Amino acid sequence: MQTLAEDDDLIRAAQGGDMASLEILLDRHHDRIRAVCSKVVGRGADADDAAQMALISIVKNLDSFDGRAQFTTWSYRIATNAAIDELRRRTRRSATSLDDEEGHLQIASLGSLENATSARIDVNDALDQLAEDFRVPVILRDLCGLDYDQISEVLNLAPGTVRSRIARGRGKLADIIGPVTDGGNQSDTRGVQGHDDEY
Amino acid sequence: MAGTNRILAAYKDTTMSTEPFTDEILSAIIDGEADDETVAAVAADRVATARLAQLRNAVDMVATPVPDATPERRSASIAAAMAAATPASPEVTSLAAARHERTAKTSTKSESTRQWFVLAAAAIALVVAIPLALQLRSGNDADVATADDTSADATDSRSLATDDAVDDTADAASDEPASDEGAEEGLTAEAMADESLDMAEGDGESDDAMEESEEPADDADSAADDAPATTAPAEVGAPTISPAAALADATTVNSLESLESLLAINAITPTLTLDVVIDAVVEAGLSPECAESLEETNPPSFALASLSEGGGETRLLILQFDEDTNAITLDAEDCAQLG
Repeated sequence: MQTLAEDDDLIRAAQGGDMASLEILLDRHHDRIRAVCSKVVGRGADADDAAQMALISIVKNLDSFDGRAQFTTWSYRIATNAAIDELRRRTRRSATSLDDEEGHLQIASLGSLENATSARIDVNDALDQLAEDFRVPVILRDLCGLDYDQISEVLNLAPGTVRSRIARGRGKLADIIGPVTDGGNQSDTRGVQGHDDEY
Repeated sequence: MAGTNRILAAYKDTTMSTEPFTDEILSAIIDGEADDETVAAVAADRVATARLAQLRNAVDMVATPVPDATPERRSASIAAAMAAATPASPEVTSLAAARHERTAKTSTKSESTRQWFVLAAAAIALVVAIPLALQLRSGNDADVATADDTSADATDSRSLATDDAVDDTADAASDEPASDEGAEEGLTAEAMADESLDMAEGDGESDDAMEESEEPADDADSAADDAPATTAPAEVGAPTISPAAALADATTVNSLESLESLLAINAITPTLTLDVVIDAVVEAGLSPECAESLEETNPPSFALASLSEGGGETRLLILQFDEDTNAITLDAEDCAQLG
């Protein structure tokens, strides 16, 4: 069973130049890091790219890791930054390819999401519609299981802000996904204070 | 919990209004941060219960595990990170940075070193010449003894001067022209300058030895082979890497996007001089014309990359870095800018 002490030992050894320990550390945390990247970025290939960038960034910055934060928290911060960078790169790429035929196809593809409401909306599509400020805290909470304080540390936000963004993010996500159907009965959500501002 | 209770208290203050439960209160329930009273109040409210279920559904969907990466992609990601550890490991990077800093310091240090040599040589000439003159003039034993004492002082002074001069030149490159300056001041100063130069060169050798000792021992690994063990010492005007090694060290990518990603996180460092780049281009069987046209770029710091976009065709790319280590990517064949 993985323990923090084992991680600490690996980190110390890796900081001392032990490549085998570094590889074990990366191998151990790859899936967790990729999972965050995957939820933030959405697309598989981009998630892999973001995860790779995160791993490289971990390697390049491992010397600066002083153990004050847990390695998982520290690496989540790197992973979310890498994923957000990847998102922004993707946005730039999309913006520069708007004149291309491919760009039109991309737009058409995005537009088709609106027509998918009759089907079960994929969670990645739903997350894609959520602003980054809400998406990342929700992912860190609901996918990674971090508590509010850890998320505050990862995102460098006040705990109250984290709490609020998670609540609003979940609310918006719930609105995008739509009401829960239970035995064909559509839930009545009237009267519940949701957030109608832009996602 | 306390935060939620405050929210609930605020809610209760207005309760008597028709305000519904907020998503924040419901979200706190999901996270187990609400008290029993709040949970019970929500449970008694059909609308709030429905919204809570909706929120829980969203949480469950986010929590759905993502499909794993393919084993190949997973291995590739870890290998890429390991490769990044070797060529741009903190030790190597810091050495390169130190070397760069040392080169930058050379110009200012050399000025102070020259001045120091001139002053030291003049002082030594004075302390040696005066007693000798006195000795020649008087010729008595007492004066000789004084002269000996003074010479001893002069020797001490020379020793101190040499030590300081070594300190000043230790960081300088071995082609530091201070020795030429010293030669103009006479034999003593020349000897001193030579000594300083020797020691400076000796320092340089030990520096190189240290660098070698800090390189990973098992260079046989492919990742370690990617390390700029031979490219790291390449300083401006001192190309020590062979063209073949420069080509072998070139970062291999399968798309321009991957290359941009690596550049974005500074995973590729400019370690090549233009001379090496030109030689490498020739070694790769391409015309050096394009690379040679880069001669006027300033500052001349470069790296090479190999782009393999499928179909077996590989293109050699020249990465030209500016002072802020921002890179532009050029096709080595015609210098067409890519990306």
